[in-house]
Amino acid sequence: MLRVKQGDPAAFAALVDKYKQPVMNLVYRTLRDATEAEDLAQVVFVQVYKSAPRYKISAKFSTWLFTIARNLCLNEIRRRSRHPAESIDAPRPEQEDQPLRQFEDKGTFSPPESLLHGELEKKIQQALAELPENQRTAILLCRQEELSYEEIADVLGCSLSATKSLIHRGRETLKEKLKPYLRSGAWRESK
Amino acid sequence: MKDPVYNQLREQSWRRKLTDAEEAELRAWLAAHPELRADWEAEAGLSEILGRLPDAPVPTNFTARVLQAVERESAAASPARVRSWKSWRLLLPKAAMAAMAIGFGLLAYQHYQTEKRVELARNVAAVSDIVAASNPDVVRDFDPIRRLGQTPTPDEELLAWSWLK
Repeated sequence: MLRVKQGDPAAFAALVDKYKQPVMNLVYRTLRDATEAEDLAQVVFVQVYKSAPRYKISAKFSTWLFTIARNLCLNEIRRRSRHPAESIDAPRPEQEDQPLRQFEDKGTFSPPESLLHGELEKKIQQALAELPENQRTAILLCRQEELSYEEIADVLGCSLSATKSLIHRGRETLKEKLKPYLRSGAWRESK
Repeated sequence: MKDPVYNQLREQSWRRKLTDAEEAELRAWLAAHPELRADWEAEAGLSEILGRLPDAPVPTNFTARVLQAVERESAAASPARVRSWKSWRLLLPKAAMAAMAIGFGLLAYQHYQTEKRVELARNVAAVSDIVAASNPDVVRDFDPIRRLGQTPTPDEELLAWSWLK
């Protein structure tokens, strides 16, 4: 990041390469639209570049990056709520049990790392999508092993105990919704 | 939840796979608390499922697109900065002239105000001199003297006759 501050484009490209996947995961699961997620993830990195001179070395880069990503996602959610007609991918009542978008339709998606298929995967995506934003973000950031609970709390702008509470409540909701699959051991079969 | 040891292990399992030592500690703990085995199974199952969620699709040219966007932003920002500096340089003499005109105007107004005050002070001083010089005795017979002016004019013909006699 220090090299990026000095205007080194190669260092910036390396940063983008390293963090594009976790940022896309967070943005995609927040916005639930692959095209918008792509655009917004791009904006996240442009914002990082533009704000690089203001970056303080005391702050961990990933915490700073995910804070920018989350803030931009929240802005987009607010914008959508002000202009609901523009959100063509919003779930319709008759399609509530359908996933919002299938990864399989994307030419860029390669599924080797995708070990969960079919119904279970759809249910997980849907259950995650239905969580409140802060619970979902906390759970998704938890998957980034690089981030400690303190850093997740920094991104969410709340205390450590509140962060753990958000994760706990989110996971309880997920367990409740996925109970039949967790009981049946379907997740083991899909390994 | 139930126990600090269980809670700590559970929180660690939310973020990452437990180490061998932690696994051993967990097994020992669950052996002593079999009623929580089902709860742990559900936790572990959920962590496993979340860990295997497919990544969101990222286009292969994503980094290149970001770099292009950054270049576009920089290119757009630089001429704007130059333009803004140039326009400032052009505006600077005009702004200086305007500031000078305003300055002169203020000085002239201040001078006018000072002159007005000096004149007023001079007038007040003159009036106060007159008031100070006047004796109350001077105005003592003011009313009879004023009434003298109101008496009828003398009959000039009668005066002439009296003079001829």
